[in-house]
Amino acid sequence: MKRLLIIFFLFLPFLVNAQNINGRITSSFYSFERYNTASSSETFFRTYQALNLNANYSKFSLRTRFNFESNLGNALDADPRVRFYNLYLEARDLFGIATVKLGRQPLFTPVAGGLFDGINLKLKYAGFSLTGFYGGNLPAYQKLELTDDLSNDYIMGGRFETVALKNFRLGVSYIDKNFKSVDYYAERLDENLDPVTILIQSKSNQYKLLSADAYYSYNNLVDVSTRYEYDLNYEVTSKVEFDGRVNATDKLGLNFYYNYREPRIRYNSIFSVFDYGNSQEIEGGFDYKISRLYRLFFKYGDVKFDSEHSSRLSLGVTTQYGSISYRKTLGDAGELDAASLYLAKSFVEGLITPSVGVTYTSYKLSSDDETNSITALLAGLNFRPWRILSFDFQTQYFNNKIYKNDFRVLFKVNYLFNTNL
Amino acid sequence: MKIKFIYLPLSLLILVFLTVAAIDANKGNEQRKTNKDVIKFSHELHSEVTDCASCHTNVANSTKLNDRLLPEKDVCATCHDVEDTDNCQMCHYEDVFEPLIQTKSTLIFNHSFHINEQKMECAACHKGLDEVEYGFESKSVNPPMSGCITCHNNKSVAVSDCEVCHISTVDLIPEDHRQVGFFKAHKFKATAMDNNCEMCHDNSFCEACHVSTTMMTETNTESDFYVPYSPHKFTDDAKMQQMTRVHDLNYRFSHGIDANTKSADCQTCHQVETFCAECHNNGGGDYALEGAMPASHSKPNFVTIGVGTGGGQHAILAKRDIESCSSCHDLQGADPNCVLCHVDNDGVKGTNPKTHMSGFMNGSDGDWHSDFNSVCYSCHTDANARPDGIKGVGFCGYCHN
Repeated sequence: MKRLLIIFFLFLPFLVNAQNINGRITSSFYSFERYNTASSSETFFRTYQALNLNANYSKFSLRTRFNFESNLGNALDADPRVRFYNLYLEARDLFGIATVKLGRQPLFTPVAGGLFDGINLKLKYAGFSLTGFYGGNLPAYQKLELTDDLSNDYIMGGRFETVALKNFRLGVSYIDKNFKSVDYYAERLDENLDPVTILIQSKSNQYKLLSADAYYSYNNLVDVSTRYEYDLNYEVTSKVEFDGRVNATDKLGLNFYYNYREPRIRYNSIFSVFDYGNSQEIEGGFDYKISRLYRLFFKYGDVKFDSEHSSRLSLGVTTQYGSISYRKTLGDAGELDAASLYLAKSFVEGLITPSVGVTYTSYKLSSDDETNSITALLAGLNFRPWRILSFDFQTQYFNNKIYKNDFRVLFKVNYLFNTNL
Repeated sequence: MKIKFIYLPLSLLILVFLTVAAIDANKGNEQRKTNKDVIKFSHELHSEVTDCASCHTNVANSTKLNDRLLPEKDVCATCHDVEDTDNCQMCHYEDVFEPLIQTKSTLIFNHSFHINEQKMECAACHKGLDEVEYGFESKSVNPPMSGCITCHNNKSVAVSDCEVCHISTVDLIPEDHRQVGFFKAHKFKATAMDNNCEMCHDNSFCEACHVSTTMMTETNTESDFYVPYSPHKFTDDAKMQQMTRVHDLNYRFSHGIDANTKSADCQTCHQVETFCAECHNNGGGDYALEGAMPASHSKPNFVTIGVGTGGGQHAILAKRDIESCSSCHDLQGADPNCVLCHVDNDGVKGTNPKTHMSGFMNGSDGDWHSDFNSVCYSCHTDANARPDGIKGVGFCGYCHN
């Protein structure tokens, strides 16, 4: 609470002087069942209050998003929980080239984990952009805390990108994520096979990746994306990716995907020293526009491991109002058959939007494992009497090896606001 | 059994879908009538002699896009002599005296507010009309969303929430999002400096998947467990009321297949050294009761003890997918149980189960030379296993004779 007040008063001047304040309040209620023993279960009622709040003044914005959650009755040990997803200041178009973000903000990189507490600077000029970021990793559950060991618990990196070459986009990225594991004592044997206790202190150098990517697009006919990732810790190629699409006709699109990847093992992990193999994945597919509304898709992929492989295929039809699809996986990594259907359509100019969904999955986690099946059904209704206020009601039904005929309810109230001061 | 309960219903559903699609396909091919078939007119010509509001007189007071916004005959009469029956052919086709065709819109837009309160000019949004005869002939006559986003961006004067402008949020799926490879290609598009994702998506949308479920601390007891719902995975519209939010609601049971087949890169969101073990944390039962140990672990040949035995099935699985091993056995502050066997306490090669590949780190100036916190010293525990050890002895003797 003290931290919240400090933050509030810190940003109060900005809020008071804002020219525009907008955001969204979402209040949710969810009921679910949990088995505590093989024969007894308990029903929980949990509420979530989420707030997005943006305050804007000229080129500056304060952007926040947090969530408060708690059970109604039978509280969990960690209740109530407050998660701060976003809390940052943004300054845009400084000197015509720079954007700066300071605070808890999103970051989307292969190993960065979505959010960090720090600074992000982006310079953009005449087809070139340069981005750099540095900050601390988030504490568990997005708590409103900063790491107290920044030297061992940080993320930093950058990206240079250019679109100066016609039809091409070229980029180079670097990311360094440090996350120190907790020290611990462990029993080992000495040379006389007598047990000794030693302190295991992992270092914090976790991931250091350098990557280059290239994208080529020609006249909405061909799109090719490639990415090469090099692991600076292990000094090996970590990942190679290729994704290509050709719009063969107005209706037919062909897609090809390939990747080679080393397992992503932290450099400070004991598992990094084992003799392990990599994997390669090839996937091809097409989509065909049957009509104005309907698009058929099919794809087949194969993943090759050290000595085995696994295949999968997907096919289905998508529409503006939902999709129907079938997915099959077979091979050494498990077998799965899944069919799903989802439909939603608005009526009365958006006043009501009913939705239904069903999935049925039959699966085996390995070839000699038992076959299980899972079913899920959804039926929901969105009611929007005003643009700024809507209500979601959804019922969920599950049937699986643990939860037999489990029935859940979700209710949500959504309110958005926008005020120019 | 499978044929009866899976393939047959699925085939029927697909058949119904395709049948409806085939019927629908003909609808799109019908020639749509336009105002070019109704009246002879040129925006290009009229833009030189008058302004938009003189003809589109209702627009400034209109609060809905489906209000009548096209000119009526009376408006034409302010300049044209509509009573002159000898000159009808100047504007009208023979025997065609229909009202102008106004297309129905599924957008919410208040012209009055934008014109009267925001003082916006028509041409700020409706570009290119002075270059064409009929409105539909200009690609930019109906403002693209990239134009709306200059104000509707959550940053200046207006919000970018879909429902502010769109009657229905269900059918707002761009064409390229429905293409077969979009899921895997979206990262390439999203990281581009010239992307336009922000037209529809803000950070909270991306964070639905990429917020990272890290450092779980639940102990999976009655009063301390991971709850099966996370509100940040929901966007405020019915389109997101679907089976796949981030994962299928039943994904807990089948996720192992995706993890093993590398269909998804779990570590993009999950810090595996703390995430996976919360469920896979002990010797049996099921998730809801006491954690779930992979079935392979309880099979008789999972581990074979002794140098030269090959290690059994666990060695095969580890070589194939060591990420799965580390996701449970590489815990924060705990000893991975692999070192129960894969340990070198005597500094003699070949007396313990094989761990490294041949030539592992050979010739490398690794961190074990300078740092006793190197991961090597978790297993190499002979008396000489340390930085600055004695050449030729124990661990150091593997390379330095």
